Amino acid sequence: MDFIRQVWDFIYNFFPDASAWLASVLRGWGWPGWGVDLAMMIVSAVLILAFIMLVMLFITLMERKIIGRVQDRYGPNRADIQSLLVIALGRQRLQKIPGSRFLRHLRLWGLLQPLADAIKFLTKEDITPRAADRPMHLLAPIVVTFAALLSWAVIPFGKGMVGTDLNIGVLYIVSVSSIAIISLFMAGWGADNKYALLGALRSVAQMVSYEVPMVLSILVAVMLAGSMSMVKIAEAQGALGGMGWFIFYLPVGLVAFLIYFICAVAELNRAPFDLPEGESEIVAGYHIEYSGLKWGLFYLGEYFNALAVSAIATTLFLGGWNGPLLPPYVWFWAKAGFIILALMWLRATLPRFRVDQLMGFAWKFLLPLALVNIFVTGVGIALLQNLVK
Amino acid sequence: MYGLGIVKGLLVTLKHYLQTYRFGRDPFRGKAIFTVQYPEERLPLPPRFRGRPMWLRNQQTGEPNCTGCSVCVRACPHGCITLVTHMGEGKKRVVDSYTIDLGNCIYCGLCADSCAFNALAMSHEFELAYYSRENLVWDGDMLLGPWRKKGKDSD
Repeated sequence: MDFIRQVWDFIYNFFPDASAWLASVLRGWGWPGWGVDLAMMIVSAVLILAFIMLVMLFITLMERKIIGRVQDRYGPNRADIQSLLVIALGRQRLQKIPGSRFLRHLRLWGLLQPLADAIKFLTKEDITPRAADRPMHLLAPIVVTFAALLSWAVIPFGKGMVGTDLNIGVLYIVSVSSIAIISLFMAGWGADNKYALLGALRSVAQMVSYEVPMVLSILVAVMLAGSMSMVKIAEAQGALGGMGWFIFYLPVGLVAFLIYFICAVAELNRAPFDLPEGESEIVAGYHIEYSGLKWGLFYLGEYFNALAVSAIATTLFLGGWNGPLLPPYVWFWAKAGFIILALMWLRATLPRFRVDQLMGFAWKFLLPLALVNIFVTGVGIALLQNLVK
Repeated sequence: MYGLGIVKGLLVTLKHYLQTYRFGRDPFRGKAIFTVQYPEERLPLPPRFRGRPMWLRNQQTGEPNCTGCSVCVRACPHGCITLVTHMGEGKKRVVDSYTIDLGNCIYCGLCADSCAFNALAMSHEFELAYYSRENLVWDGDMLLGPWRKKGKDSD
């Protein structure tokens, strides 16, 4: 029994314990305090980024498979080891390896598709339009990818598992997610293409509009937790054996979560809010002139953003790492994965908004609702505090 | 109520998603997944499917039925059939060479329709991709063997 408890504790606190162990080892080597801190920061940043990259790769595959299933087809399942080896080694060299032709049948349910996609991005021709603003054109995809990665710094994956516990974490996330808007406009302007510019303008208008109700809905979580630190917000939801999630604070929590979710989908430029890239109207929007690796970076940034948004929603409304029984990091990723699934489900279901409907929805419906929601939250908190007194 | 339509739509997509896991088959409406995994799975070809033209043999002697009458050559709208004959003993023609350029063939089947000696028919073979155009010019021997392919570079 004791042994089982020890194993369970090991699993439960694996990541904080591991980081504490690593720090103590480094200190044992006689590293100075700042050196240990720096090393821990670098290690955690690299680990988080590597993990996010890995998850991102397979989320692209998951999305394609799920949307395929929804549309009564299989989705990608034919990326076999043989084709990858043909690319890596060449057909002649591969044929000399005995038994290599049976590798064609080793497909692993399409799990190698992300690799194949990556090879495709890397080997495609990289075109820059002649009239393009070169630095802008080159920088835009880089900025969008990095902006998407920045918000991971303050997201707590579990108890004691956070890059940096900023006391203004929410503000940081809100401001960092606005960088993506600039990069989209850079892409639209830099390409020197009317469709790209139109798409970028639409995109910027949409994201600026939806940022307002989004921030107001986040404010509800901040008010309920009484703090802007992501860790404090997650901790505040640990009541009732880890089930005191803000989404259960009816009605304000649920409404705030729904508003946040809708705005986040709009912010991600995903279906049904993907009209900045409406193919039938403006060809492909801001990334029309991008190809190869640069386009791949946009794609990457989009999925990083989707992941980040689901992680933020998890932290703010779904209780972060809190939950009964399972280890914190498992709970966190289960919830984040659920939101990602919901994003895919929505994309597979809903058609695209019209521009005026889109703007009207943000300004005439979501914004007043979010304001009323904040009001109700404030009144509720004040009443409760008076009752407790 | 607002939002109810969205929920309905979500349920429809969820239903379709789950249906694809019914072991591939729905007893009342056929397959839940419509994809045919082509090289491994194939749809049955209709009996009158027109693949590449093939030569037919005399069932008793095993000799080709072709008499070299050249009706098919004249019937071919693209002129992709070439026929060279000379007069043999009696009134019989001897076929020196008979080639069909499958790269030009449109699989219309007019040659097979026009053949009066049951020597030419449309086969069910349609996977005819080669690395070089020369491999698409098939002579009588190759047209005879219904599933024979030429050369090493067939893939």
